[in-house]
Amino acid sequence: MAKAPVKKRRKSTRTPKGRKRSSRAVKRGGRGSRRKSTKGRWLLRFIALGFLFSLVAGVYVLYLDHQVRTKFEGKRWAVPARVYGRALELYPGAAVTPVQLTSELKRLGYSKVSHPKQAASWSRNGNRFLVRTRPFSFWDGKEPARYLDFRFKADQLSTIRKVGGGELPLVRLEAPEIGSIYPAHNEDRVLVQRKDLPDLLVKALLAVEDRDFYRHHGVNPKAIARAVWVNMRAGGVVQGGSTLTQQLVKNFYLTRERSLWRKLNEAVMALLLDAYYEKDDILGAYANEIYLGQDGQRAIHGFGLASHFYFNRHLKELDLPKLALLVAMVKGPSYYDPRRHPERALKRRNLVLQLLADQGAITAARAKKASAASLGVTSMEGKGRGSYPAFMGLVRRQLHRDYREEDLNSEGLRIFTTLDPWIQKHAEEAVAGSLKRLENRHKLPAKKLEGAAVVLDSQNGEILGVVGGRKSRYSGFNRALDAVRPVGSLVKPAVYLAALMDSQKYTLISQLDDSRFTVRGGDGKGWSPRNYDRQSHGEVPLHQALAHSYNLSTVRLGLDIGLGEVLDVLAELGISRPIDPVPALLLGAVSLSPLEVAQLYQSFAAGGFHSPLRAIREVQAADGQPLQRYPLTVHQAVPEGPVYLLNRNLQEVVRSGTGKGLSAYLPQRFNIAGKTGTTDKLRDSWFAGFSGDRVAVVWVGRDDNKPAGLTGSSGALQVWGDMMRRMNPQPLELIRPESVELVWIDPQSGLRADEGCSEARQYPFIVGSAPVATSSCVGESGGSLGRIFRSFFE
Amino acid sequence: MKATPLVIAALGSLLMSACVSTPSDRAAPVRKPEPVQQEEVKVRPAEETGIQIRAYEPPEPPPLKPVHSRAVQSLMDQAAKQERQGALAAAVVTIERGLRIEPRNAHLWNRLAHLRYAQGQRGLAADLAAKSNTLAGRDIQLKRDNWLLIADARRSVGDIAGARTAERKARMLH
Repeated sequence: MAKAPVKKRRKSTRTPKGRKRSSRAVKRGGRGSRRKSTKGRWLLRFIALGFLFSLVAGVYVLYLDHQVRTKFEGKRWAVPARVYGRALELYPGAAVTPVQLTSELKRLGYSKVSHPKQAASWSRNGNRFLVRTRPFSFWDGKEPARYLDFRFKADQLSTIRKVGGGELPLVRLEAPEIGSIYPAHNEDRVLVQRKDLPDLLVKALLAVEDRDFYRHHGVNPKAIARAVWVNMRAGGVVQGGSTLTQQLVKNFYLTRERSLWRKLNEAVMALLLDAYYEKDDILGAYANEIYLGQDGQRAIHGFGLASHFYFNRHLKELDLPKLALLVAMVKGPSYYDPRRHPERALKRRNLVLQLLADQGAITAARAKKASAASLGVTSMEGKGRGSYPAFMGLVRRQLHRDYREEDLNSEGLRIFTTLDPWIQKHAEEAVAGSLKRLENRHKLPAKKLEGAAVVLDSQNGEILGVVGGRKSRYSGFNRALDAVRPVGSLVKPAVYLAALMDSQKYTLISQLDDSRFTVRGGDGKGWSPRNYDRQSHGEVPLHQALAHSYNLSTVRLGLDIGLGEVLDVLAELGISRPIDPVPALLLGAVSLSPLEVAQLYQSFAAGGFHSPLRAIREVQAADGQPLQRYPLTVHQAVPEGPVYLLNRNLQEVVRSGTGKGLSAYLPQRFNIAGKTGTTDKLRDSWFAGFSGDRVAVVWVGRDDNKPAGLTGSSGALQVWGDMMRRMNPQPLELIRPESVELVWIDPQSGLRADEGCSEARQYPFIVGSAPVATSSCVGESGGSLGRIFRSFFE
Repeated sequence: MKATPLVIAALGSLLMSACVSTPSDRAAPVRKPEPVQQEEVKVRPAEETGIQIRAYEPPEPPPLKPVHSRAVQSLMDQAAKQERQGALAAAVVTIERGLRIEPRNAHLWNRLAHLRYAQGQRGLAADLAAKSNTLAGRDIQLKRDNWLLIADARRSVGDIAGARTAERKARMLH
């Protein structure tokens, strides 16, 4: 067998041999298409014509030659940025349940076995998990592969040990991949080096697609002849004679058009490619280029990505039957799609295994055993990639401020985000499930309600989950970011905070006037706000006005402190959108997206400290070099004292005010703080609130802006409660700042009391702002019952 | 400018508190408040100018060692090591990781404040120290350290009055 001439990959010099050889090939073809003539005088003309033809052909080959080399050596693969979610931190005492660990291991593609021997596998025995982890390169260092022993007690992680070693204080699993940022032509890819291609994969590929790969010169006339023969006998295209090199050229340079001309181009380019480059380079390119499936808009290219797409595992971790399945799909990824056509795929996979055995690459026994294995493909649902369009939309926006699109989709960046897939999953399920329930319960038209949700870490502003709509897996209108809707009463806490910041004037027990009135706007038109129940409530203490979301007293309060003050507070807490300074803003004539509302409430939850919301933590270059961080920052936007008073008041909202429906989902011991919001004609239903560890905002309404028929508490609150309950939140324990004191007050008179007064309640005040005069009840009874702590809203 | 020896002494020890915390970490790996305790001893006599007064004071209670979970402790140890090696950015990442595990751990916020200060981000350092204060509860040593750091940060941007206020806050803690 003739060995291919010694070839070296050259960057700029041309190999004359290759060119010569290939132009000869073309000439030969040209000659064959001419008709012979016996007349001598035509001979000269034919020679001239032939010369001209070969000249044109030669120039054309030069052109192809240029194309082949520039494309092969230039940017061969745009490697999309990989986007990762948060890594699960495991430590003794972590509030991680066995269910959650199982779900995380599944997400990472770890396989459950009876005894873990390979990386990325695990076993479970009651409350004990044995896990062999993969190594993983984080922004701040490498996490080695380890063999770990986790034990749970009462749904909590109790110890972590290295198998055969000591206890470990802290372990983080690898970060789950949640998506990639691939170029506009929708090619996604996980780059694999030639040396990392599993040996069996190469053997199977050559056995099935191109037996003579290491021997031919780019095209294989023998194979073509064989294919022609087989096809003629079968009366149709059964077998192809294309070499891997030709297939690569087809994928790499040419369109999908099927014509003789293209076939010819393909052959010439294959010869050129073979002349210039090492077989292994070509094979490596093939392994990354080959088309292996479709995921919606996204084309699956290369074995590296296909391995993740079909098995959710790295290529090097695949066993023989899985490798054989990948090779089986080369012939027709859609026809042999193992998810849609499992029987076909299985049959062809077993054919591949048979071929391997026939050629002596594996034993017959091994082939038989592998043929008995199931396909082992993962279900599409919950398969990580492409599954978080709303969150990915946010990530893209943040990245585009700092990176060019072409860097994002070609440089193989690794992007570490804040998404918690566990939280995200619960948020999605809660939104979809609750909206359906709400439609049924309130007899609303089916499938008209839409919703959005944002979940944050309450202290550092990291975005843990984003739901952009009811069908959260479909990208489309991202309501969490782009549905800018009037927020209704959600704005009220800003009004009350502005008031409480003036502690000499306003305390939680200040009496507000909740009677009707008309305010004249700048245009001279009158505006008469109304309460939701159309009633006036007379004189009400400030905290009750917020707890029950009274409009009249709120507008009076806001006008008294000044619209400018309210707007300042909103701006300080991170609302950058320009807002019209009209009185109606006090009742929520302010349009914000759920994400912006989340920013506002995060500042409350963090005690008045503003942290810009973040979806990205770090960006790493393809080689592991750290590129950029988006660090945790805080800025004390408003003093913590008034925020504490406000938060206590927001707890009252949930305990006894408009948010009390939450007790159907979360018992009172969670001390949730929150606020409902409802807009005119029930178009928008909002709930925003926080537990000890998380802030969440839910919006419910309709895309056509027609009335949804739900108030904040009958709509969004229900979704919020269902969502939070699933996430196993921590109770909210507010830490009283030094600037706040608790004082016994007689609610009747609003005067200072003591614990002996039967009706007295403890209220928080900014130090020095509590009433001085004492109620007559003080000293009346020595009060054994008075020792009980009575908060103002109990 | 009233450059009394007292102010100089206080200032000196304050500056040291920012720079010196690293070496003291080296001696005693990661019991964070210890450097705080040391500064505090240095500052007190200077301000109260007399051994007599101190003699009549009740004895200082033994410093409470903060109780951290083993997970957070391991990260604090790691951050201290990174800091010693001059890898401040890496130490920041480590502390932030700790804060994701225990977002309400005032000591972690305090460490982050010191790291940011050392990196020259004075404004952020002061905000982080203020955040630490809101979560510190009755941990007076920690609060004092935070106030002193805030004072340093304010002074470094020329806010002398603000720095004095912060120092007064630090002194008044008991």
